[in-house]
Amino acid sequence: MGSREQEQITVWARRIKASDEGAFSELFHHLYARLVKFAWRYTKSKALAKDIVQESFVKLWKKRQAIDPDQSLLAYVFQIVRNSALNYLRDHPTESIALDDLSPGSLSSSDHIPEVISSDDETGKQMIKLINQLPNRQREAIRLSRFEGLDHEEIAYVMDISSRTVNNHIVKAIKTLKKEWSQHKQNQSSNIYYD
Amino acid sequence: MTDPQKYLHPDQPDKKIDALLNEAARVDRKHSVTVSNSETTAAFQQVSERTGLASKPSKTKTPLWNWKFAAAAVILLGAIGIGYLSIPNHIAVPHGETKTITLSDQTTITLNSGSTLSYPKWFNIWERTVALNGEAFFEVTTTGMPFQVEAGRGLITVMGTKFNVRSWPDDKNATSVFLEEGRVSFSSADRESKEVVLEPGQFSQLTPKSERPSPPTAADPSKATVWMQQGLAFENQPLSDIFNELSRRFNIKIKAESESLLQEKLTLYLSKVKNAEQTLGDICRVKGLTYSKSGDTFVVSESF
Repeated sequence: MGSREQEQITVWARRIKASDEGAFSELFHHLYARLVKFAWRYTKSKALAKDIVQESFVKLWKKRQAIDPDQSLLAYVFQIVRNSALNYLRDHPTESIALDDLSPGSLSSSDHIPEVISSDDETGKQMIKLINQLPNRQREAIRLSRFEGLDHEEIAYVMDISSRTVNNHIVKAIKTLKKEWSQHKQNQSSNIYYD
Repeated sequence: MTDPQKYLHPDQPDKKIDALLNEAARVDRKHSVTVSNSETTAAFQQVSERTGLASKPSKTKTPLWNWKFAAAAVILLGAIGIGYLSIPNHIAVPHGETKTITLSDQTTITLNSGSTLSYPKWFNIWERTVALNGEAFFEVTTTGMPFQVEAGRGLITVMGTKFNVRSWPDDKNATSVFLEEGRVSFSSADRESKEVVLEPGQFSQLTPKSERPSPPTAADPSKATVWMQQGLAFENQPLSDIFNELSRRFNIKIKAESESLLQEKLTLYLSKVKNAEQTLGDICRVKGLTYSKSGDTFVVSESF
Protein backbone atom coordinates (compact mmCIF):
# COMPACT_ATOMS: atom_id res chain seq x y z
CA MET A 1 0.00 0.00 0.00
CA GLY A 2 1.37 3.41 -0.95
CA SER A 3 2.43 5.59 1.93
CA ARG A 4 0.40 8.47 0.56
CA GLU A 5 -2.69 6.34 0.81
CA GLN A 6 -1.61 5.37 4.30
CA GLU A 7 -1.28 9.05 5.24
CA GLN A 8 -4.65 9.86 3.74
CA ILE A 9 -6.31 7.04 5.65
CA THR A 10 -4.70 8.20 8.90
CA VAL A 11 -6.15 11.68 8.32
CA TRP A 12 -9.57 10.14 7.69
CA ALA A 13 -9.21 8.03 10.85
CA ARG A 14 -8.68 11.15 12.97
CA ARG A 15 -11.54 13.02 11.34
CA ILE A 16 -13.97 10.07 11.61
CA LYS A 17 -13.07 9.65 15.27
CA ALA A 18 -14.12 13.30 15.64
CA SER A 19 -17.50 12.42 14.00
CA ASP A 20 -16.66 14.05 10.66
CA GLU A 21 -19.29 12.74 8.25
CA GLY A 22 -17.45 14.04 5.20
CA ALA A 23 -14.40 11.94 6.07
CA PHE A 24 -16.61 8.89 6.57
CA SER A 25 -18.09 9.43 3.11
CA GLU A 26 -14.64 9.85 1.55
CA LEU A 27 -13.34 6.69 3.19
CA PHE A 28 -16.43 4.79 2.09
CA HIS A 29 -16.08 5.88 -1.53
CA HIS A 30 -12.37 5.14 -1.47
CA LEU A 31 -12.72 1.59 -0.13
CA TYR A 32 -16.17 0.29 -1.02
CA ALA A 33 -15.43 -1.41 -4.37
CA ARG A 34 -12.18 -2.85 -3.06
CA LEU A 35 -13.85 -4.31 0.02
CA VAL A 36 -16.79 -5.76 -1.92
CA LYS A 37 -14.30 -7.58 -4.14
CA PHE A 38 -12.46 -8.75 -1.04
CA ALA A 39 -15.63 -10.00 0.67
CA TRP A 40 -16.78 -11.66 -2.57
CA ARG A 41 -13.71 -13.91 -2.43
CA TYR A 42 -15.25 -15.47 0.66
CA THR A 43 -18.98 -15.29 -0.09
CA LYS A 44 -19.00 -15.76 -3.86
CA SER A 45 -22.19 -13.72 -3.87
CA LYS A 46 -21.98 -10.08 -4.81
CA ALA A 47 -25.22 -9.17 -3.02
CA LEU A 48 -23.94 -10.82 0.12
CA ALA A 49 -20.52 -9.16 -0.20
CA LYS A 50 -22.21 -5.76 -0.57
CA ASP A 51 -24.35 -6.39 2.51
CA ILE A 52 -21.33 -7.39 4.55
CA VAL A 53 -19.34 -4.31 3.55
CA GLN A 54 -22.25 -1.93 4.19
CA GLU A 55 -22.82 -3.53 7.57
CA SER A 56 -19.12 -3.14 8.36
CA PHE A 57 -19.24 0.59 7.64
CA VAL A 58 -22.33 0.96 9.82
CA LYS A 59 -20.36 -0.77 12.58
CA LEU A 60 -17.33 1.43 11.95
CA TRP A 61 -19.37 4.61 12.27
CA LYS A 62 -21.07 3.39 15.45
CA LYS A 63 -17.71 2.53 16.99
CA ARG A 64 -15.89 5.58 15.66
CA GLN A 65 -14.98 6.75 19.20
CA ALA A 66 -12.90 3.60 19.58
CA ILE A 67 -10.77 4.26 16.47
CA ASP A 68 -7.07 4.43 17.26
CA PRO A 69 -5.48 6.75 14.67
CA ASP A 70 -2.08 5.24 15.37
CA GLN A 71 -3.34 1.84 14.22
CA SER A 72 -4.04 1.14 10.56
CA LEU A 73 -7.70 1.95 9.92
CA LEU A 74 -7.39 -0.01 6.70
CA ALA A 75 -6.49 -3.15 8.65
CA TYR A 76 -9.34 -2.43 11.06
CA VAL A 77 -11.89 -2.24 8.23
CA PHE A 78 -10.51 -5.33 6.47
CA GLN A 79 -10.71 -7.18 9.77
CA ILE A 80 -14.39 -6.31 10.28
CA VAL A 81 -15.24 -7.38 6.73
CA ARG A 82 -13.24 -10.60 6.95
CA ASN A 83 -14.76 -11.63 10.26
CA SER A 84 -18.29 -10.87 9.10
CA ALA A 85 -17.71 -12.97 5.98
CA LEU A 86 -16.24 -15.85 7.97
CA ASN A 87 -19.08 -15.67 10.51
CA TYR A 88 -21.57 -15.81 7.70
CA LEU A 89 -19.91 -18.86 6.20
CA ARG A 90 -19.72 -20.51 9.63
CA ASP A 91 -23.44 -19.93 10.24
CA HIS A 92 -24.41 -21.15 6.77
CA PRO A 93 -22.22 -24.21 6.35
CA THR A 94 -24.34 -25.79 3.63
CA GLU A 95 -23.56 -23.04 1.20
CA SER A 96 -20.03 -22.52 2.31
CA ILE A 97 -17.99 -22.25 -0.80
CA ALA A 98 -15.51 -20.39 1.29
CA LEU A 99 -11.83 -19.94 0.83
CA ASP A 100 -11.33 -23.56 -0.07
CA ASP A 101 -12.60 -23.23 -3.57
CA LEU A 102 -11.63 -19.71 -4.19
CA SER A 103 -11.16 -20.01 -7.78
CA PRO A 104 -11.73 -22.72 -10.26
CA GLY A 105 -15.29 -21.56 -10.89
CA SER A 106 -14.52 -17.91 -11.11
CA LEU A 107 -11.72 -18.53 -13.51
CA SER A 108 -13.02 -21.14 -15.85
CA SER A 109 -15.59 -18.74 -17.24
CA SER A 110 -12.89 -17.27 -19.42
CA ASP A 111 -11.83 -20.58 -20.88
CA HIS A 112 -13.71 -19.95 -24.07
CA ILE A 113 -11.36 -17.12 -25.05
CA PRO A 114 -9.36 -18.10 -28.12
CA GLU A 115 -6.08 -19.85 -27.32
CA VAL A 116 -3.82 -17.07 -28.45
CA ILE A 117 -5.38 -14.47 -26.20
CA SER A 118 -6.03 -16.64 -23.19
CA SER A 119 -2.46 -17.89 -23.10
CA ASP A 120 -1.57 -14.42 -21.76
CA ASP A 121 -3.39 -15.26 -18.56
CA GLU A 122 -2.19 -18.85 -18.24
CA THR A 123 0.67 -18.01 -15.90
CA GLY A 124 -1.56 -16.03 -13.57
CA LYS A 125 -4.25 -18.70 -13.60
CA GLN A 126 -1.80 -21.46 -12.86
CA MET A 127 -0.36 -19.42 -9.97
CA ILE A 128 -3.85 -18.81 -8.55
CA LYS A 129 -4.48 -22.53 -8.75
CA LEU A 130 -1.30 -23.17 -6.79
CA ILE A 131 -2.15 -20.46 -4.25
CA ASN A 132 -5.56 -22.04 -3.74
CA GLN A 133 -3.94 -25.35 -2.92
CA LEU A 134 -2.01 -23.83 -0.01
CA PRO A 135 -3.18 -24.47 3.58
CA ASN A 136 -5.94 -22.02 4.58
CA ARG A 137 -3.94 -19.58 6.69
CA GLN A 138 -0.99 -19.47 4.31
CA ARG A 139 -3.34 -18.82 1.44
CA GLU A 140 -5.14 -16.08 3.32
CA ALA A 141 -1.89 -14.40 4.35
CA ILE A 142 -0.44 -14.44 0.85
CA ARG A 143 -3.67 -13.14 -0.67
CA LEU A 144 -3.86 -10.28 1.82
CA SER A 145 -0.23 -9.47 1.11
CA ARG A 146 -0.04 -9.78 -2.66
CA PHE A 147 -3.62 -9.31 -3.82
CA GLU A 148 -4.91 -6.80 -1.28
CA GLY A 149 -1.62 -4.98 -0.75
CA LEU A 150 -1.59 -5.04 3.05
CA ASP A 151 1.70 -5.03 4.95
CA HIS A 152 2.62 -7.76 7.44
CA GLU A 153 1.52 -5.79 10.46
CA GLU A 154 -1.84 -5.08 8.89
CA ILE A 155 -2.28 -8.73 7.95
CA ALA A 156 -1.43 -9.71 11.53
CA TYR A 157 -4.20 -7.44 12.74
CA VAL A 158 -6.72 -8.65 10.17
CA MET A 159 -6.03 -12.33 10.85
CA ASP A 160 -5.57 -11.81 14.58
CA ILE A 161 -2.16 -13.47 14.72
CA SER A 162 1.36 -12.10 15.39
CA SER A 163 3.42 -10.45 12.63
CA ARG A 164 5.95 -13.17 13.16
CA THR A 165 3.37 -15.82 12.36
CA VAL A 166 2.28 -13.84 9.29
CA ASN A 167 5.86 -13.82 8.18
CA ASN A 168 6.16 -17.58 8.70
CA HIS A 169 3.00 -18.22 6.72
CA ILE A 170 4.21 -16.09 3.83
CA VAL A 171 7.70 -17.57 3.82
CA LYS A 172 6.27 -21.10 3.79
CA ALA A 173 3.73 -20.20 1.13
CA ILE A 174 6.38 -18.72 -1.16
CA LYS A 175 8.60 -21.72 -0.69
CA THR A 176 5.78 -24.10 -1.64
CA LEU A 177 4.75 -21.95 -4.58
CA LYS A 178 8.30 -21.92 -5.93
CA LYS A 179 8.54 -25.67 -5.66
CA GLU A 180 5.12 -26.30 -7.19
CA TRP A 181 5.77 -23.84 -9.98
CA SER A 182 8.99 -25.50 -11.10
CA GLN A 183 7.26 -28.86 -10.89
CA HIS A 184 4.42 -27.53 -13.01
CA LYS A 185 6.92 -26.22 -15.55
CA GLN A 186 8.61 -29.61 -15.72
CA ASN A 187 5.33 -31.46 -16.22
CA GLN A 188 4.37 -29.02 -18.90
CA SER A 189 7.52 -29.49 -20.91
CA SER A 190 7.25 -33.28 -20.75
CA ASN A 191 3.65 -33.08 -21.98
CA ILE A 192 4.18 -30.76 -24.83
CA TYR A 193 3.88 -33.38 -27.55
CA TYR A 194 1.02 -35.19 -25.92
CA ASP A 195 -2.04 -35.22 -28.11
CA MET B 1 16.43 -26.59 0.36
CA THR B 2 16.21 -22.85 0.04
CA ASP B 3 16.95 -20.84 3.10
CA PRO B 4 13.69 -19.32 4.31
CA GLN B 5 15.62 -16.41 5.76
CA LYS B 6 16.30 -15.28 2.24
CA TYR B 7 12.75 -14.00 1.91
CA LEU B 8 12.98 -12.04 5.09
CA HIS B 9 15.73 -9.95 3.64
CA PRO B 10 14.29 -6.99 1.76
CA ASP B 11 17.48 -6.51 -0.24
CA GLN B 12 17.18 -9.89 -1.90
CA PRO B 13 13.67 -10.04 -3.24
CA ASP B 14 12.97 -13.09 -5.33
CA LYS B 15 12.21 -11.44 -8.64
CA LYS B 16 10.84 -14.51 -10.35
CA ILE B 17 8.28 -15.43 -7.71
CA ASP B 18 7.41 -11.74 -7.34
CA ALA B 19 6.64 -11.50 -11.02
CA LEU B 20 4.57 -14.68 -10.86
CA LEU B 21 2.59 -13.38 -7.88
CA ASN B 22 2.01 -10.03 -9.59
CA GLU B 23 0.72 -11.89 -12.60
CA ALA B 24 -1.61 -13.93 -10.33
CA ALA B 25 -2.87 -10.70 -8.71
CA ARG B 26 -3.54 -9.16 -12.12
CA VAL B 27 -5.52 -12.17 -13.37
CA ASP B 28 -7.30 -12.41 -10.02
CA ARG B 29 -8.45 -8.77 -10.31
CA LYS B 30 -9.59 -9.37 -13.85
CA HIS B 31 -11.84 -12.20 -12.70
CA SER B 32 -13.31 -10.43 -9.72
CA VAL B 33 -16.74 -8.83 -9.53
CA THR B 34 -17.06 -5.23 -10.61
CA VAL B 35 -18.56 -2.47 -8.53
CA SER B 36 -19.78 0.59 -10.39
CA ASN B 37 -19.77 4.16 -9.11
CA SER B 38 -23.54 4.20 -9.05
CA GLU B 39 -23.55 1.07 -6.90
CA THR B 40 -21.13 2.74 -4.51
CA THR B 41 -23.32 5.83 -4.33
CA ALA B 42 -26.44 3.74 -3.69
CA ALA B 43 -24.60 1.73 -1.03
CA PHE B 44 -23.45 4.88 0.73
CA GLN B 45 -26.99 6.16 0.67
CA GLN B 46 -28.13 3.02 2.48
CA VAL B 47 -25.32 3.21 5.01
CA SER B 48 -26.18 6.88 5.65
CA GLU B 49 -29.77 5.96 6.26
CA ARG B 50 -28.78 3.15 8.58
CA THR B 51 -26.42 5.31 10.61
CA GLY B 52 -28.80 8.27 10.71
CA LEU B 53 -26.37 10.49 8.82
CA ALA B 54 -27.63 13.16 6.47
CA SER B 55 -28.02 11.40 3.17
CA LYS B 56 -26.09 14.00 1.17
CA PRO B 57 -22.96 15.84 2.27
CA SER B 58 -24.41 19.10 0.92
CA LYS B 59 -25.37 21.52 3.67
CA THR B 60 -27.97 23.36 1.63
CA LYS B 61 -30.85 21.11 2.58
CA THR B 62 -33.18 22.41 5.24
CA PRO B 63 -32.07 20.99 8.57
CA LEU B 64 -35.68 20.19 9.49
CA TRP B 65 -36.02 17.83 6.57
CA ASN B 66 -32.77 16.10 7.39
CA TRP B 67 -33.75 15.79 11.01
CA LYS B 68 -37.11 14.33 10.14
CA PHE B 69 -35.55 11.96 7.69
CA ALA B 70 -32.95 10.78 10.17
CA ALA B 71 -35.56 10.37 12.88
CA ALA B 72 -37.81 8.39 10.55
CA ALA B 73 -34.93 6.16 9.55
CA VAL B 74 -33.96 5.58 13.17
CA ILE B 75 -37.51 4.74 14.20
CA LEU B 76 -38.01 2.43 11.25
CA LEU B 77 -34.76 0.63 11.83
CA GLY B 78 -35.30 0.45 15.54
CA ALA B 79 -38.65 -1.17 14.93
CA ILE B 80 -37.42 -3.78 12.52
CA GLY B 81 -34.17 -4.49 14.24
CA ILE B 82 -30.83 -3.68 12.73
CA GLY B 83 -29.29 -7.02 13.55
CA TYR B 84 -32.10 -8.88 11.88
CA LEU B 85 -31.88 -6.77 8.74
CA SER B 86 -28.19 -7.29 8.37
CA ILE B 87 -28.44 -11.03 7.72
CA PRO B 88 -29.45 -11.72 4.12
CA ASN B 89 -31.73 -14.61 3.28
CA HIS B 90 -29.96 -17.37 1.47
CA ILE B 91 -31.52 -20.31 -0.32
CA ALA B 92 -29.47 -23.22 -1.63
CA VAL B 93 -31.01 -26.02 -3.67
CA PRO B 94 -29.29 -29.41 -3.27
CA HIS B 95 -28.18 -31.38 -6.31
CA GLY B 96 -30.94 -33.60 -7.65
CA GLU B 97 -33.73 -31.24 -6.52
CA THR B 98 -35.52 -28.10 -7.69
CA LYS B 99 -37.28 -25.62 -5.48
CA THR B 100 -39.96 -22.97 -5.93
CA ILE B 101 -40.11 -20.05 -3.51
CA THR B 102 -42.45 -17.09 -3.14
CA LEU B 103 -41.01 -13.77 -1.99
CA SER B 104 -42.82 -11.17 0.10
CA ASP B 105 -43.93 -9.30 -3.05
CA GLN B 106 -45.54 -12.53 -4.34
CA THR B 107 -42.82 -13.01 -6.95
CA THR B 108 -42.21 -16.72 -7.47
CA ILE B 109 -38.84 -18.16 -8.38
CA THR B 110 -38.17 -21.74 -9.46
CA LEU B 111 -34.56 -22.69 -8.84
CA ASN B 112 -32.72 -25.42 -10.73
CA SER B 113 -30.58 -28.02 -8.91
CA GLY B 114 -27.43 -26.68 -7.29
CA SER B 115 -28.52 -23.03 -7.57
CA THR B 116 -28.30 -20.49 -4.79
CA LEU B 117 -30.32 -17.32 -4.37
CA SER B 118 -29.76 -14.58 -1.82
CA TYR B 119 -31.62 -11.39 -1.11
CA PRO B 120 -31.51 -8.81 1.65
CA LYS B 121 -33.99 -8.89 4.50
CA TRP B 122 -35.10 -5.45 3.33
CA PHE B 123 -36.20 -6.96 0.03
CA ASN B 124 -39.33 -5.12 -1.10
CA ILE B 125 -38.76 -2.32 1.45
CA TRP B 126 -36.10 -0.22 -0.29
CA GLU B 127 -35.34 -2.33 -3.29
CA ARG B 128 -36.11 -5.60 -4.94
CA THR B 129 -32.72 -7.12 -5.68
CA VAL B 130 -31.77 -10.78 -5.63
CA ALA B 131 -28.47 -12.46 -6.45
CA LEU B 132 -28.53 -15.71 -8.40
CA ASN B 133 -25.82 -18.26 -8.83
CA GLY B 134 -27.14 -20.94 -11.16
CA GLU B 135 -30.38 -21.09 -13.08
CA ALA B 136 -33.90 -19.96 -12.23
CA PHE B 137 -37.22 -19.06 -13.75
CA PHE B 138 -38.76 -15.85 -12.43
CA GLU B 139 -42.38 -14.76 -12.35
CA VAL B 140 -42.10 -11.21 -11.08
CA THR B 141 -45.08 -9.34 -9.65
CA THR B 142 -45.53 -5.75 -10.79
CA THR B 143 -45.37 -3.43 -7.78
CA GLY B 144 -44.01 -0.19 -9.23
CA MET B 145 -40.57 -0.92 -7.78
CA PRO B 146 -38.00 -2.31 -10.24
CA PHE B 147 -36.91 -5.90 -9.67
CA GLN B 148 -33.24 -6.68 -10.28
CA VAL B 149 -31.36 -9.94 -10.64
CA GLU B 150 -27.61 -9.97 -10.23
CA ALA B 151 -26.25 -13.04 -11.96
CA GLY B 152 -22.53 -13.41 -12.50
CA ARG B 153 -21.45 -10.28 -14.35
CA GLY B 154 -24.98 -9.69 -15.57
CA LEU B 155 -27.70 -7.43 -14.27
CA ILE B 156 -31.33 -7.91 -15.29
CA THR B 157 -33.84 -5.18 -14.53
CA VAL B 158 -37.58 -5.77 -14.88
CA MET B 159 -40.86 -4.35 -13.71
CA GLY B 160 -43.12 -7.41 -13.83
CA THR B 161 -42.58 -10.36 -16.12
CA LYS B 162 -41.64 -14.02 -16.62
CA PHE B 163 -38.09 -14.90 -17.60
CA ASN B 164 -35.35 -17.50 -17.22
CA VAL B 165 -31.80 -16.70 -16.09
CA ARG B 166 -28.92 -19.10 -16.44
CA SER B 167 -25.64 -18.14 -14.78
CA TRP B 168 -23.30 -20.95 -13.72
CA PRO B 169 -19.80 -19.81 -12.84
CA ASP B 170 -18.39 -22.88 -14.61
CA ASP B 171 -20.34 -22.41 -17.85
CA LYS B 172 -18.59 -20.96 -20.86
CA ASN B 173 -21.38 -18.58 -21.71
CA ALA B 174 -21.60 -17.08 -18.26
CA THR B 175 -25.01 -15.44 -18.03
CA SER B 176 -28.02 -15.81 -20.31
CA VAL B 177 -31.58 -14.57 -20.16
CA PHE B 178 -34.69 -15.86 -21.91
CA LEU B 179 -37.84 -13.74 -21.71
CA GLU B 180 -41.21 -15.46 -21.73
CA GLU B 181 -43.54 -12.56 -21.04
CA GLY B 182 -43.28 -8.79 -20.53
CA ARG B 183 -40.05 -6.84 -20.98
CA VAL B 184 -36.62 -6.94 -19.39
CA SER B 185 -33.47 -4.92 -19.73
CA PHE B 186 -30.23 -6.83 -19.50
CA SER B 187 -26.74 -5.41 -19.09
CA SER B 188 -23.41 -6.16 -17.54
CA ALA B 189 -23.52 -5.06 -13.88
CA ASP B 190 -20.74 -2.54 -14.44
CA ARG B 191 -22.02 -1.17 -17.75
CA GLU B 192 -25.66 -0.53 -17.05
CA SER B 193 -25.89 1.99 -19.87
CA LYS B 194 -24.99 -0.67 -22.43
CA GLU B 195 -28.19 -2.60 -22.02
CA VAL B 196 -30.25 -4.67 -24.43
CA VAL B 197 -34.02 -4.86 -24.14
CA LEU B 198 -35.64 -8.24 -24.72
CA GLU B 199 -39.06 -8.86 -26.22
CA PRO B 200 -41.06 -11.99 -25.35
CA GLY B 201 -39.55 -15.14 -26.87
CA GLN B 202 -36.08 -13.60 -27.14
CA PHE B 203 -32.78 -14.77 -25.71
CA SER B 204 -29.54 -12.89 -25.00
CA GLN B 205 -26.29 -13.82 -23.34
CA LEU B 206 -23.41 -11.99 -21.71
CA THR B 207 -20.07 -13.63 -22.31
CA PRO B 208 -17.25 -13.01 -19.86
CA LYS B 209 -15.31 -10.71 -22.16
CA SER B 210 -18.05 -8.60 -23.68
CA GLU B 211 -19.16 -5.18 -22.52
CA ARG B 212 -22.75 -5.66 -23.52
CA PRO B 213 -25.02 -8.71 -23.93
CA SER B 214 -25.57 -10.23 -27.38
CA PRO B 215 -28.34 -8.75 -29.56
CA PRO B 216 -31.59 -10.49 -28.61
CA THR B 217 -32.54 -13.36 -30.92
CA ALA B 218 -35.64 -15.52 -31.06
CA ALA B 219 -35.36 -18.73 -29.05
CA ASP B 220 -37.55 -21.78 -28.74
CA PRO B 221 -39.53 -21.28 -25.52
CA SER B 222 -39.99 -25.00 -24.98
CA LYS B 223 -36.22 -25.45 -24.95
CA ALA B 224 -35.29 -22.39 -22.91
CA THR B 225 -37.21 -23.55 -19.87
CA VAL B 226 -37.07 -27.28 -20.55
CA TRP B 227 -35.24 -27.86 -17.26
CA MET B 228 -38.48 -27.15 -15.42
CA GLN B 229 -39.93 -30.30 -17.02
CA GLN B 230 -36.79 -32.36 -16.24
CA GLY B 231 -35.57 -31.91 -19.80
CA LEU B 232 -32.21 -30.92 -21.26
CA ALA B 233 -31.51 -28.58 -24.17
CA PHE B 234 -28.05 -27.65 -25.36
CA GLU B 235 -27.12 -26.12 -28.63
CA ASN B 236 -23.55 -26.67 -29.69
CA GLN B 237 -22.30 -26.53 -26.10
CA PRO B 238 -19.09 -28.08 -24.75
CA LEU B 239 -19.47 -31.40 -22.94
CA SER B 240 -18.10 -29.73 -19.79
CA ASP B 241 -21.28 -27.62 -19.53
CA ILE B 242 -23.50 -30.60 -20.29
CA PHE B 243 -21.76 -32.85 -17.74
CA ASN B 244 -21.96 -30.09 -15.12
CA GLU B 245 -25.69 -29.82 -15.73
CA LEU B 246 -26.19 -33.60 -15.48
CA SER B 247 -24.15 -33.73 -12.25
CA ARG B 248 -26.20 -31.02 -10.60
CA ARG B 249 -29.57 -32.15 -11.81
CA PHE B 250 -29.18 -35.84 -11.05
CA ASN B 251 -26.75 -35.56 -8.18
CA ILE B 252 -24.12 -37.75 -9.83
CA LYS B 253 -20.39 -37.28 -10.30
CA ILE B 254 -18.89 -37.25 -13.78
CA LYS B 255 -15.19 -37.12 -14.41
CA ALA B 256 -13.43 -36.89 -17.75
CA GLU B 257 -10.23 -38.70 -18.42
CA SER B 258 -8.87 -35.85 -20.49
CA GLU B 259 -9.50 -32.12 -20.59
CA SER B 260 -9.73 -32.14 -24.38
CA LEU B 261 -12.80 -34.35 -24.59
CA LEU B 262 -14.66 -31.87 -22.39
CA GLN B 263 -14.24 -29.25 -25.11
CA GLU B 264 -16.12 -31.42 -27.63
CA LYS B 265 -19.36 -29.73 -28.59
CA LEU B 266 -22.79 -31.27 -28.77
CA THR B 267 -26.35 -30.28 -29.61
CA LEU B 268 -28.79 -32.15 -27.46
CA TYR B 269 -32.49 -31.93 -26.79
CA LEU B 270 -34.41 -34.22 -24.48
CA SER B 271 -37.87 -33.14 -23.42
CA LYS B 272 -37.62 -35.29 -20.31
CA VAL B 273 -34.66 -37.14 -18.90
CA LYS B 274 -35.76 -40.38 -17.32
CA ASN B 275 -32.43 -41.87 -16.43
CA ALA B 276 -29.18 -39.95 -16.04
CA GLU B 277 -26.93 -42.92 -16.76
CA GLN B 278 -28.81 -43.75 -19.94
CA THR B 279 -28.47 -40.13 -21.08
CA LEU B 280 -24.76 -40.20 -20.35
CA GLY B 281 -24.53 -43.43 -22.35
CA ASP B 282 -26.31 -41.79 -25.30
CA ILE B 283 -23.97 -38.82 -25.22
CA CYS B 284 -20.95 -41.11 -25.16
CA ARG B 285 -22.22 -43.15 -28.09
CA VAL B 286 -22.83 -40.07 -30.21
CA LYS B 287 -19.42 -38.60 -29.45
CA GLY B 288 -17.47 -41.88 -29.72
CA LEU B 289 -16.69 -42.00 -26.02
CA THR B 290 -17.08 -44.65 -23.36
CA TYR B 291 -17.79 -44.44 -19.66
CA SER B 292 -17.19 -46.68 -16.72
CA LYS B 293 -18.46 -46.46 -13.19
CA SER B 294 -16.00 -46.35 -10.34
CA GLY B 295 -17.67 -46.03 -6.94
CA ASP B 296 -20.19 -43.21 -7.23
CA THR B 297 -18.37 -41.54 -10.12
CA PHE B 298 -18.82 -41.98 -13.86
CA VAL B 299 -15.51 -41.75 -15.66
CA VAL B 300 -15.76 -40.75 -19.30
CA SER B 301 -12.92 -41.55 -21.68
CA GLU B 302 -12.14 -41.73 -25.37
CA SER B 303 -12.97 -45.11 -26.88
CA PHE B 304 -10.35 -46.82 -28.99
